[in-house]
Amino acid sequence: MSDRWELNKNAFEELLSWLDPDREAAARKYETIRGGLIKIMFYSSDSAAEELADEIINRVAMRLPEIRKTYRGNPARYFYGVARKLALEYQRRPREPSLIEGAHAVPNPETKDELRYECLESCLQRLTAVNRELFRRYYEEDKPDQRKELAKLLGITEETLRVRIHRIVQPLKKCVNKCMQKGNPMK
Amino acid sequence: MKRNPGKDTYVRQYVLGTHESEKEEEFEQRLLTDEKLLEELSIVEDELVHDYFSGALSESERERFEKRFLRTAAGRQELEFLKTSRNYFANLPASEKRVPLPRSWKRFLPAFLRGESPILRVSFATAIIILVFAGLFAVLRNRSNERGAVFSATLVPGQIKNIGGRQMNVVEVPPGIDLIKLQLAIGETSAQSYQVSLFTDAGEEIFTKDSLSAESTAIGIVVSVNVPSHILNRGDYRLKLTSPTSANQSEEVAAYSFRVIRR
Repeated sequence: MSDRWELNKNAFEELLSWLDPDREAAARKYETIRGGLIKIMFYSSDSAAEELADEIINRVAMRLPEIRKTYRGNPARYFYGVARKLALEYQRRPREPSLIEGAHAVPNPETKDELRYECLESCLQRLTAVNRELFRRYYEEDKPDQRKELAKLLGITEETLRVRIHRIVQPLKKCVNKCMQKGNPMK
Repeated sequence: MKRNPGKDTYVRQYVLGTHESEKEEEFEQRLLTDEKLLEELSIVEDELVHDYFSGALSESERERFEKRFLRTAAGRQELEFLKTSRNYFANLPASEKRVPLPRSWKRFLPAFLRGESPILRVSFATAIIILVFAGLFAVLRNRSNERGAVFSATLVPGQIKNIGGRQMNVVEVPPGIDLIKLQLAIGETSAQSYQVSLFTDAGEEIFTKDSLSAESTAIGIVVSVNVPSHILNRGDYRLKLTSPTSANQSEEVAAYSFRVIRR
């Protein structure tokens, strides 16, 4: 494993400029690459996917001055190559404690459930009333045509509904996870 | 939970670990460049968590899901989030008021029209327009086919009504006739086209038709003109046949007088 080289601001800007000359477009590409790396590492290793994804990004950024001289092609493919390599490395090496999920002190499961409950309650208040109600109806129960009826009520397709719900739920999950890491619900 | 299997089959297979390995590299590379695919993967994961929790997965799918998705803390965290959400809403007091969701007028539309694909909507509108015109065409065509029999009558020029009872052309129209075909007998002619003007006995012009051509028939050379039956009520009429000689001038070829009798 490489040294913990940190991605500083300059290195990050260099990385973005390699992804795209337009900074806004580069930022979007970066987010997509990072999100994709998290998914790939999630399915190809037992370790913390986010940390591995950041490791991949660090490795690429660290070598960027050399890469830019010789590499021709979509930068995303380069990231993918590094991801495959890292996945293989981790399959062969003993896992470091810092990357083994749950190796830190695990709170009592009941306490954790309570905390999650309180965090959810707190984070739900950050949603608009309509989004909260949408989330509630979508997840509340398993009526056979619940989602179909919900889509019809809103005048959208079920496909659009799934995407809309997902875009409500993702920030909600992040809020809950952040709250749980802090250990107390954000009021 | 039912979903469209065709659309997210590979994505679903990827989550369950039943995907074709030959396509894995291409799929994973797309995850790094395709925002929508990345989002779709997250959505399918959520749905599989939901299906797992509600018991909608088959036994083999459950095993695969546990082995592939729930083996990590992050995966288990997704399941815990769903459980907590369900518990939360289940524990809400009954008095907790539901927020009414905005009802869209589109709820009256069929599902495929509620989509956001303008191509689909335009295609559907085009299809409707085509159907309407096809229907109109069929109706009009049927109406024309349903017209009553055409009654033919031959008129000979030169016979002018005489108060003294001089003989004139008589057209005896049977009932149920929608169209009266007047065959105007003419002599030798070299005109390319003809125009017909029909007048009442009082001199009022009630019908004209141009761009008519002469044709050879058993009774000689005639110019035929179809006159709607409702125009020729019982009475006396005069018909003038002309042909254009130049851009703005024409010459009279023949004139016909006739009396219409309705049986």
